[in-house]
Amino acid sequence: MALFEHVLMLRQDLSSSDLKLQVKKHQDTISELKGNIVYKESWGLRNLAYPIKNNRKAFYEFMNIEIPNENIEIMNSKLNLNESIIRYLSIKVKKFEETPTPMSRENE
Amino acid sequence: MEKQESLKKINKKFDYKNIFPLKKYLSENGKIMPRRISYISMKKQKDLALAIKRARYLALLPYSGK
Repeated sequence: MALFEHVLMLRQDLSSSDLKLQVKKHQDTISELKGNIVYKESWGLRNLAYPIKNNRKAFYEFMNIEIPNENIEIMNSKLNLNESIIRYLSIKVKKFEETPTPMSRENE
Repeated sequence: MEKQESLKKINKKFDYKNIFPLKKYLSENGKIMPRRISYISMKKQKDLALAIKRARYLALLPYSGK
């Protein structure tokens, strides 16, 4: 098992129910791949520094996950197929940083 | 008391999730400041560059322009 910091960026025009559905779907794939979500938080709708695929804003979802090394590739390839996810970032870390992250505090 | 807090902030590692300390090290054009201007240690400069590049990928910071 390896630890990953994971950030998802979702399209700006999703409704709140669609957003929930997409996040739920992602969580399901993680648990299917024997992964485990240690921590999850939402950074909300943020302005992008530059447009990505005609999006000026995006919903950010941050997660700390624990998943076998070989399965992270499968998870990421699934994310590539999903059109409502415009970008993602998975970073392998030795240990998780303290939560909540500074980004969520900023939104409050 | 204030001094201690500021020291703590300096000792903290640069992180792509915390963009305010990173913004300080960007030029007007959004470029990463060279070490001769930023005047931080090599180790921290490398850390800084990595954090800025990650933040740029997530569109939290611009690649160019303000």
